[in-house]
Amino acid sequence: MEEKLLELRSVGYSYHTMQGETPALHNINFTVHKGEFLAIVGPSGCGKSTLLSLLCGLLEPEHGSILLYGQKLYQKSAGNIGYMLQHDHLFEWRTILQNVLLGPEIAGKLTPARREAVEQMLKTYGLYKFKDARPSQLSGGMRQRAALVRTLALEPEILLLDEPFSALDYQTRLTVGDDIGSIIKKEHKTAILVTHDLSEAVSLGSRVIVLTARPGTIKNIINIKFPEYLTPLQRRNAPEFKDYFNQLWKEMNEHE
Amino acid sequence: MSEISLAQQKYLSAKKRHKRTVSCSRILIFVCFLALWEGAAYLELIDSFIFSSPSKVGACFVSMLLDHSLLPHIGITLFETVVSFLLVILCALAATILLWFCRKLSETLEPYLVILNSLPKSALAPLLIVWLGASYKTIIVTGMSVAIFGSILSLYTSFMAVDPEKIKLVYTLGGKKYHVMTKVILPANIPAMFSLMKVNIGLCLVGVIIGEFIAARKGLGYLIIYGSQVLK
Repeated sequence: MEEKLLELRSVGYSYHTMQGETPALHNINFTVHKGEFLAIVGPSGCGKSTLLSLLCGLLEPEHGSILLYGQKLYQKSAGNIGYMLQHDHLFEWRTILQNVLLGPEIAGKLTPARREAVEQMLKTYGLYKFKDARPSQLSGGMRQRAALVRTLALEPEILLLDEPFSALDYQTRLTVGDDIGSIIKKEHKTAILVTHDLSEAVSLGSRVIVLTARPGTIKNIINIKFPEYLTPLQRRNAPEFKDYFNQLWKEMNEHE
Repeated sequence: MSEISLAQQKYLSAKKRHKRTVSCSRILIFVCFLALWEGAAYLELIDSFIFSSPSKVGACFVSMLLDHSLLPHIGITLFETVVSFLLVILCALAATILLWFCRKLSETLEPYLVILNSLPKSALAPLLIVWLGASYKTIIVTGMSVAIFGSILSLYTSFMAVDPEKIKLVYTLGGKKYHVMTKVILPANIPAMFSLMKVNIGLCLVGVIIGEFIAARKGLGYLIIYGSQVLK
């Protein structure tokens, strides 16, 4: 049995406005093991992004609890959990290098060793020669990779990905998905990906959680098994791919 | 260095021509204006006693320069304007940062800021002189009063317009509210601050001149009042 990293126990969350209360998530239970790539799919408005905000401590669950290494997750346990947002949000007033060093800078961990490690990452992912460029000079795919390096710069154990490819055009999306999937595998990170793209979930995930519409509850958890050596792009051509895809499709479109 | 292609050369020369046209036109407008003014005064289409003319203005300027009765006035007005401008920027920035950090305070104070901003400051200038005495400090305060409340309001609006996702990003990287301010809000608002400065330098000058109308023995505002009284 792999090591239990993150555990959710009957987690629930509602949004409050003057008009009333909107339940976003209800009774969510699952565990995340070290090194796995968990994908979460669901119809839009099922509280996927809320779930990520809860997982990284930006929001506190109203019901239930979230345990990291068996300890209750309070506020932001910076460094342990990295969150990659839907858009890259690279700051135009910083160079790429300054952008990816934002995390360590905020955490006050901008040591020469850390800087070295981040520059090494930029080299590995083909961004080093753009380190002094402004974000607007980079293509969408490169910006997304820079955003990933920025998230990895704090050396998190768990990566949360909030539809990180949805802002890209289809072709870039496939290659960047492939890139980022491989990077995460190579860095031996645990990742939780939220998406509404079923094929993305199947090509990247080792397990897929299907959520119902609002309020989001877990409908089913599907294990995805492909040969180890397949990259996300190769997975798309594997014969099992369409079976998983159809299974997910059916789950998503079954009405209760 | 690679050869520049013909199309690129064409593009560059077109750009250059465009730039030249714009700066020539600017100068031309100014020259035409002066010529029209001078011509109209010379042909007595306008009364040169009331409207003056460029040559008379020039002559007066030179004679005032020569008897040293102009530069000290320009200097004092410039000094008061620059000081009140700098103080407005500093105070507005400090106040806006404070308001941004404390949502309760900003919501409480908002109607007061709107009222203070819409007060006719020139009408208040005599009061300021009564309160603070007739010195250059009063005039600096008058200059500030014209610009400061509007600056706070517009700076606060642009602080609040920063993309909330960018703010969320700082929180996901483990930042606190302080980091949001230093890493996102301030750098993102540098263009807004510059455009605010452009507006403020003019406003401060207006305020300083108004102050000098009422309370000064020196400065351009004083000269204007002096001139208008001599005319009577």
